[in-house]
Amino acid sequence: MNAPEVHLRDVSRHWAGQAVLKDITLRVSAGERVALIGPSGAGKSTLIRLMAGALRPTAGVIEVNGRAMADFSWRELQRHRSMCRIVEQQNLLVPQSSVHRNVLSGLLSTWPWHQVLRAALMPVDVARVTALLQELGMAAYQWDTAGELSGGQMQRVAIARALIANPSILLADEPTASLDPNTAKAVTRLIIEQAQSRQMSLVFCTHWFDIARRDCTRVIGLRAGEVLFDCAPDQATDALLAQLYAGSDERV
Amino acid sequence: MPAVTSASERHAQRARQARLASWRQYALWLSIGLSGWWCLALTGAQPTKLFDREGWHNASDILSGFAHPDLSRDFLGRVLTLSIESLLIGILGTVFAVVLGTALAFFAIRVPDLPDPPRRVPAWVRTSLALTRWLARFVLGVFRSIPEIVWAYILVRVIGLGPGAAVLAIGLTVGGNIGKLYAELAEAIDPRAIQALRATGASRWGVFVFAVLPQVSRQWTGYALFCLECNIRIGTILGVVGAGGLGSEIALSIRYFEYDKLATALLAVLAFVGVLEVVSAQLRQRRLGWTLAFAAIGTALALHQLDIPWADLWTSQAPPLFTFDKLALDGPFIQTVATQIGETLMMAWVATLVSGGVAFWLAPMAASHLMTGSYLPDPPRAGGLAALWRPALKWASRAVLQATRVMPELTLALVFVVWVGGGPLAGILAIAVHNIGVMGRLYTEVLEEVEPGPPAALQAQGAGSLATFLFGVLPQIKARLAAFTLYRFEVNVRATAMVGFVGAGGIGDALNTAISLFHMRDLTLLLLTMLLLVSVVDAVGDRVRARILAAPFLKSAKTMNLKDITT
Repeated sequence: MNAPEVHLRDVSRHWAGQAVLKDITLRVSAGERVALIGPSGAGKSTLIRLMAGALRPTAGVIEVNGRAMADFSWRELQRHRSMCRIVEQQNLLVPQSSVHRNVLSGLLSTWPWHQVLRAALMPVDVARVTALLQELGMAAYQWDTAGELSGGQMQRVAIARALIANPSILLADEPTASLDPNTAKAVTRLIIEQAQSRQMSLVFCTHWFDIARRDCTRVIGLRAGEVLFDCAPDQATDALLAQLYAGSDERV
Repeated sequence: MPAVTSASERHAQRARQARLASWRQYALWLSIGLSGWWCLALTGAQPTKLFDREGWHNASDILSGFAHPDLSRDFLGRVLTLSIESLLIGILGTVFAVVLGTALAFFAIRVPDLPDPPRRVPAWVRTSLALTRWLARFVLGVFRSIPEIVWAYILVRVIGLGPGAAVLAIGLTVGGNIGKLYAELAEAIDPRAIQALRATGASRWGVFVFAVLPQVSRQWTGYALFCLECNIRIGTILGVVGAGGLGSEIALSIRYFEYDKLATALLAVLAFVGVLEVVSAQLRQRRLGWTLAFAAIGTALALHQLDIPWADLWTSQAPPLFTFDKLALDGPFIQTVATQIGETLMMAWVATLVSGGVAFWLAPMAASHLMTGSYLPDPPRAGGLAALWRPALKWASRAVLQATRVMPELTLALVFVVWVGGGPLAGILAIAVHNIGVMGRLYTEVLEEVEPGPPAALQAQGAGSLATFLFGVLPQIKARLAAFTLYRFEVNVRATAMVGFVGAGGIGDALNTAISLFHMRDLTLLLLTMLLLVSVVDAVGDRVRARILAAPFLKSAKTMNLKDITT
């Protein structure tokens, strides 16, 4: 799998005049598993959206395999978005549609318009969706309405939607924030295992540092829009973490 | 069902259910499609007439007028005068409608009683109150189920040609609509305020002024403003039956094949209604005082300019319009009326399906979120050809929706009667074209209420416009789209009776004949039939809509109040 290398150079991003990210420079290479940690409001979600091509930087350049994203044509941009899948904090499924349809919608970007139309009219790729849901332990719910599921189940469906197109980068934006601790642990495990077995690059925003330490190849600490540290997990000392979370109630 | 089922059993079971549900969906859509086809065939309308040799010929005649519109100073002055007359008709008609509607609504509202009052009210008082309420609702029903143009034609017979008939006609039909809606809105308010006043022994009048009015005044004025816009639009067309305004010029130019004048008049309607939209949008944003001032000045001007022979209402020499003796029904008459009712319903149904089908695609194409922008807050821009054709498509769709919406059905019917000849086809086309714009606007409003998260998630992963619409947006709104479409069908049944007046099929044709030839028995019977038809269609529509809207996961807070938006 030729995962793209995403390279941010001096990237800043403002929201309503406030700088959320300040001159970030970092590079995510193929097959890396990066834990992105930091207190709320550090700019983790913004960083993830910038990488996925869902947001425009206020300043700086984002390069994908050496090409600036700003020069992408519409088609190239859509292709890049299709390769990067985000698992959101809230799952953002369509609650009125079936689980099958929600998972299937992960394939939309890979389809020509007539296939989109066909899929809107009749169930397609049933076996493929079933197989994936089986892996995630959700096969029994393929035909249920998404809005009727529990939070953890919905998040699994959202993961299935992200995985079905075999993306090369998986971006998880605190996917467990709204789940109870046990479910959260299971969902986190699932994401990391899937990233490992499919050899995807993974950027995982989380508050759980022990998971980051065990399964990630790299840890980035983000504080007030700036990179505080960027190192291997075992080099992230308690002192660094204390500095990262200084003045905030949240703790690892 | 056994209490414990294994996962695979559950999967199989749900898959079966899902398959069944999707077959049911196919069957529903197939039957809707077939019913449209079948209705079209039964009305005898041949859509090929649009483009056969004669159709091309007629269309090119009409279009040639647009190539050389009559721009002589003389005619333009006339068009301007008539436009202003239409404006004044609309304003004065609205004032009448509001006065009439509010007055009747006052009697039609059911004022909630105290939860457990000591039974002091004698039975005869309660009965007479209920009777008054029922009577007020019946009168409102009569007013609103008879289209403006029928009232106008009847009134022309009573008070003679001129804008007076149009003003009164608008006042009656729209007054009926306003009264019904006002009463419904008033009954939907919080009853506690009323009960508190009742406990102090306030009179009905006191309750109305101090408990009901303050709670509904915003909605009431909003709806009145909306009606004002519609009424001015109607004011441009009632001249077809001699009731003043631009319509007379449109009818004349068609009668004498003066397509250059027709073109000018139609363009004037477009421009006039366009300006009106801007003005009313401005009024909506400002304080209520502006609206009241606008209405007051308009009313004063209208009363001064329109020169309505009020006295003729009472001293008219016209023969009595309604007769209730010898209402015996004979076989042939029943058969004719039944055929016409069937034709009216079928025309309305086909027109609704056609316009709904077109608006379904045009509305998302006119949506910024789907075409030029994104549900994402600030996505990277992309260059290339898409930056050209996407905005072009969006603005073209918006132009089509806007242009079709501002053209009243009757005006379109006049044009289509020239194009394809009289009969149901012209009526279907007129109503369908007008409704493309109306439904496009309704659909657009529904589209804007969508929960932005799911479509944004799809766009973030690179899904295109079509995919985002079909998978991210449509599932959220399809119940409301269906409800709105059904609602328009109910309105279209009434509209079909209107277009028949200019020879475009349906029950209006018969009404026209009855009024023209003073067949009072026929007229009375036909109006009663209309009343029955409209009541039945509305009642059935209300039921079905309530069922459609009971679908799960509709945002309850924002569930539409259909009548807030349109009539």
